[in-house]
Amino acid sequence: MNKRLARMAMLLALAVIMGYLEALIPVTPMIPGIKIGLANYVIVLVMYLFSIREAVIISVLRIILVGFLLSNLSMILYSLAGAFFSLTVMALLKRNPHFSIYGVSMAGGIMHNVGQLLVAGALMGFQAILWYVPFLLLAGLLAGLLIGCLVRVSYSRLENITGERGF
Amino acid sequence: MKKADGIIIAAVLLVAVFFLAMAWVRGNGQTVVLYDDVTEIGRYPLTDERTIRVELENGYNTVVISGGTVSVSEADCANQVCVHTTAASRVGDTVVCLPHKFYVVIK
Repeated sequence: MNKRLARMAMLLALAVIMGYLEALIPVTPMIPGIKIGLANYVIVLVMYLFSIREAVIISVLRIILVGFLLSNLSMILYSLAGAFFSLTVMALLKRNPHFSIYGVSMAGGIMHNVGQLLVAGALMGFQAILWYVPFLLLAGLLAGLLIGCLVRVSYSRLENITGERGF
Repeated sequence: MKKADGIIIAAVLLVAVFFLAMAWVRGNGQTVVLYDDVTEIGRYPLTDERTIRVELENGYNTVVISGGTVSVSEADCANQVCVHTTAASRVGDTVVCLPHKFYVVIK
């Protein structure tokens, strides 16, 4: 139990720091909202190293923590919507043996943006966000692919560190 | 990378292109709205071919609607910013003449 708590806390800290680090680096100033999603790297990694349950717990805790520390309630709403869509679809695709880590991660990146676009559309009207849709879809695809590569590279190295599966 | 992953890529590209086309079509404005400060003083379809001379408190602006775009061709204002503004055609585009408190918005 203590071991599990310690690992979860460490991974949560890592997810928070990743998100914070990324906020310091402006990736594309041209279209707001486009980023690699380094925090999501931790979430996908957790999903593969452990299970979807741990990924959901860390994702939600991270959003609440970062939300209250660094941003505001509307950002929490956007983040939760993105995480909900992303995690749901990733969990479904991960069960399907036809999809590799790349497909799962890409779908996660895309659905994250779809969730955020839906919130933006609900708040500001869908006409206002129409232009962003294609760019955010492509951005989600590329970011997901990149995260997929990162997770694949680090998975084999971390598999041994985590010891017995599922905490 | 497996075959099914490629399907995701193809599907997303397809949807992105669809939305781009939709945004392009929907983004083209329908109506030209003229404002004197906060008061609406005129409304014309963007498909019209016409020239409107707008008399305002401090002078006049000549608005030209042509080929699906709208611009100000002539004005007796001091800075001529409105005249030099690129022709507007998309929803939300504006041509503004601050000295006359006059502006054109596409809706």
